[in-house]
Amino acid sequence: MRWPSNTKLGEKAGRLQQAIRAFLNVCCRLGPPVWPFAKSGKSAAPELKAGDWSHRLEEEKRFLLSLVRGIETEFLASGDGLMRLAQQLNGIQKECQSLTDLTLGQTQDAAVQFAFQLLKKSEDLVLASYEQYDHVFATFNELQQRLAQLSKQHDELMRVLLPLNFITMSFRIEASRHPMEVQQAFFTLADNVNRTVNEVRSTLERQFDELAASERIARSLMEQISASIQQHRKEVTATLESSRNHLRALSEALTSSGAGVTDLSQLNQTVTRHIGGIVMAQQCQDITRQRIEHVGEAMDEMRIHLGDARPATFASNSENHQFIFRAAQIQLHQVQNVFDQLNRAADSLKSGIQSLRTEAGAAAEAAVKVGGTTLDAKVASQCQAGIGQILGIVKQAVQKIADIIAAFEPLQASFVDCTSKATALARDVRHAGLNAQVFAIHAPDGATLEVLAGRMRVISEEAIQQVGQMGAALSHTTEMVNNLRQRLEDFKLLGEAEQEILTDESALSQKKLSDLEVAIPVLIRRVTQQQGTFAQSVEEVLANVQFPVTVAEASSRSIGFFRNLVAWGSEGGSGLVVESPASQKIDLLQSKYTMESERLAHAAALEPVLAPAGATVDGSSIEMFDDFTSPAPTIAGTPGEIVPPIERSEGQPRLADLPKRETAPPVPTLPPAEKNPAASEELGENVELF
Amino acid sequence: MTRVLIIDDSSLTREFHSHILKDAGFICVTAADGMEGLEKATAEKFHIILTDINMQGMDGYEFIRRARQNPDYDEVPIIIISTEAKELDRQKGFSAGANLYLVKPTDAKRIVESMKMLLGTR
Repeated sequence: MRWPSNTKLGEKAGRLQQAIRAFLNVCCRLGPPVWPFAKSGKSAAPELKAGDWSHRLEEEKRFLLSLVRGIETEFLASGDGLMRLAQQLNGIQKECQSLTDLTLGQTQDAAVQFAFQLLKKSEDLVLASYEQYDHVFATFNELQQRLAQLSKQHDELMRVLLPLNFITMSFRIEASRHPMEVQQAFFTLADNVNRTVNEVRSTLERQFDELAASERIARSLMEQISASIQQHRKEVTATLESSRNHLRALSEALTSSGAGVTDLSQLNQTVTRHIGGIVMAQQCQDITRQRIEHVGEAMDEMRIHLGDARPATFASNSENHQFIFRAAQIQLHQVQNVFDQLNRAADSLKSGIQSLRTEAGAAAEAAVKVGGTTLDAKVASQCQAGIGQILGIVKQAVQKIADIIAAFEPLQASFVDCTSKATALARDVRHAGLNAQVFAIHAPDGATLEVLAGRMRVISEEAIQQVGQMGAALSHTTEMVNNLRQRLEDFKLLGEAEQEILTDESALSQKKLSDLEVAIPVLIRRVTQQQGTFAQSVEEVLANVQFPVTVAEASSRSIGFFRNLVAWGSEGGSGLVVESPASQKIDLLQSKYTMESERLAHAAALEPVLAPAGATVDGSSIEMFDDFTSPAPTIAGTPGEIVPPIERSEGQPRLADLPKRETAPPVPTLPPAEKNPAASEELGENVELF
Repeated sequence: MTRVLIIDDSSLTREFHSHILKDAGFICVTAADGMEGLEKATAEKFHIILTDINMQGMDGYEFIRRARQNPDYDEVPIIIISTEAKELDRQKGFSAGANLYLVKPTDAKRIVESMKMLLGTR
C-alpha cells in the first residue's frame, strides 16, 4: 500500500513508514530475543555496503585460514599425543609380552612345569622305594618259610644222629670182649663219634639259635619298616597332593593372569586401531586446507570486484553483482562441503577418542585382573616347601633301605656259617664211621664190630645227606638274601644319586619359583603403572581436543557469512546470463580449483541456474574421501525466505519497489537447528507491507 | 637403512608419514614442496620417495618429471600420496614417472607394505 507523498497524510505516512522501518531494523539487529521474526546473524548483513563486504570478506578469509592453521596446530599437538599413546602402548605391549612369556610361555614351563616334573620324579623315587620294600617283605616271608623248613630238617638230622649214641655204647660193650689194645682203640673211636655227634648237635643248635635271633631282629625291623611305610605312604600322598595343588593353583593363577595379559594385549590392538582411525580422520585436514586456500583465492577475486565497485554505482553494476552472488553461492557450497567433511572428521575423532577412553578403562580392568596374580604367586613358596618335604621322605626311604641291608648282614653271615659248619660236622661223622669200619675189619673176630661200624657209617651217610639238604636250603636262602641285599644296595645307590639330583633340581626349582614370584609382581606393577600413565595420557589428549567445538562454531559463522553474502548479492545478481563476462569469470574460478570435488561443487552450485527448471543436483557425483563420503549439500529454497529489511542508500530503489524476480536464485537450505521458516516468512511479509 | 624422502606441504602429513616410516625402520627426510624436495634429493641419495601432488610452488608431477631426469633417480621408486582420486590424476601421475599412486587418507600399514613391495623387501 502506498500513500501519495505530496499530501500531508502522505508525508505523515512516509515518516511513520521510516520510523517503523528503523524500528524493525533495530529489532532485527537485536535478534530473536527481542524480535522473534529476526534471524540471528543475518539482520546486519544486508545493511552492509560493498566496501563493508570487501572488508568482511578479508576478515572471513583470515578467519578461515586461521581456522585451518589452528586445526593443523591442534592436529599436530594431538598427533604428538597420539604418537605418545602409541609409544606407551608399545611399552605396555612389551611388558605384556614379558608377562605372557613368564606366565604362559617358556619361563613358566621352566618354573612351574619344572616343579611339577620335580614332584613327579620325587614321587617316582618314593614309589620305587616302596617296590623295594615290597620285595623285602616278600623275601622275608620266604626266608621265614625256609627257616621253618630248615628247623624241620634240623630236627630230622637230630633224629638221624640219635641212634649213634646207642651204637657207640654197643660198640664199647662189644669191644670190651676184645684184647686191651683193640678195646682201647674202639673206645677211642666211640668217644670220637660221640664227641662229633655232640658237637654237631650243639653247633647246629647254636647256629639255629643265631639264625632265629637274626630272623627275629629282621622281623622286628620289617615290622617297624612296615609301620613307617604305612605312615610314609600317607605323608607322601598328602605332601604330593598338597604340592600338586599348590602348583596347580600357581599354574591357574598364572593362566588367569595370562588371560588378563591376553585381554590387555587385545585391548592394545583395539586401541591401536582407534588411534589409526583418528589419524585417518585427521588426514582430512590436508584436503580441507587446500579447499579453504582455494576459497580464500575466490574471496580475493570477490574483493577485487567489490573494491572496483563504488558504493554509488555498485548496485547498478549488475555484472559485479552477478559475480558476487554466484561466487558467494559457490563458496558457500565449498565451505559447506569443507565443514561437512570437518564435521565428519570431528565425529570420527570424537568417537575414536571416546573409544580410547572406554578402552583405557577396560585396559585398567584387565591390568587389575593381571595384578590378581600378585597374591596367588605366593603359592610358589608353598610349592617349594612341598618339594622340600618330598625330598625328606625320599631321603628317609633310602635310609630305610640301608637299614634293611644292615639288618640282613648278620642273618646272611649266620646262614653261611651254619651251612659250612653243618657240612664239616657231617663229614666228621662219616669219617668216624669209616674209621670204625676199618678197625672192625682188621680186628680178629670183629664181625660184630664190623656190623656196628657199618650201621654207624649208614647213619653218618644219612646225616651227610640230611646236612647236604640243609646246606642246599641254606645256600638257596643265602642266595636269596644275597640277591635282596644286592638289589637293595643297587637301589640305595640309585636312590642316593636321585636324591642328590633332586636336591640340586629342587634348589634350581626353588630359585625359578622365587624368580617367578619376584618377577611377576614387578612386571604387573610396571604394566599397571604404564596402564595408568596411558589412561592419564588419553585424558590429556582428550582435554586438548578442541577441534569439534571449534569446527561447529566456525561452521555456523562461515556458512552464515556466505549465506548473508549470497542474500546480499541476490539483490542484483540473480539473473545470471550464461554468456555474460561475470559468468565467464565464475567459470575461471573453477579452473583454480585443483580438486575434482571442488570443481564438482562449483558445477553443482551453478547447475540449478544453468540447467532447465526442475533439474536437481546429483549429490552422489561429488567425490569425497572413501571414508568420509557424504552427499553434497542439497540446493533448495528461495532467497525470499532470508531477505531482511535493507537500509537503502540515496538513489537506491526500495526493496518493495524492486521488480519481482521471475526465477528465484537458489540458496542452500539452512541446517534444521537454524531454520525458522515461520519467522522468516512473517518478517518477509512485514517488510513487504512497507 | 633405507632412506626415504617425504614431500608434502602439510606439516601434519609429513609428521604422520615420518612417524610411521621411522617406526618401520626407515630414515626419513622431509620437504614442504617439490623444489625443496629436488634440492634435498640432489644433496643426498634416497632409496624411495613419497610425494604429494597439490603443493604451492612446484607440484608433485613437476617434481617427479624433474627427478626422473636425474640419472640418480631414474629407477628410484616414487609413490604419490594425493587427495586426488580421479583416473585422470592417476594417469598424470604415472605419466610423470610415479611407480605407485595412493589416495589419502592412507593407513600406515598400506604405505609401509607398498614401500616394501616396491623396494623388493617383501
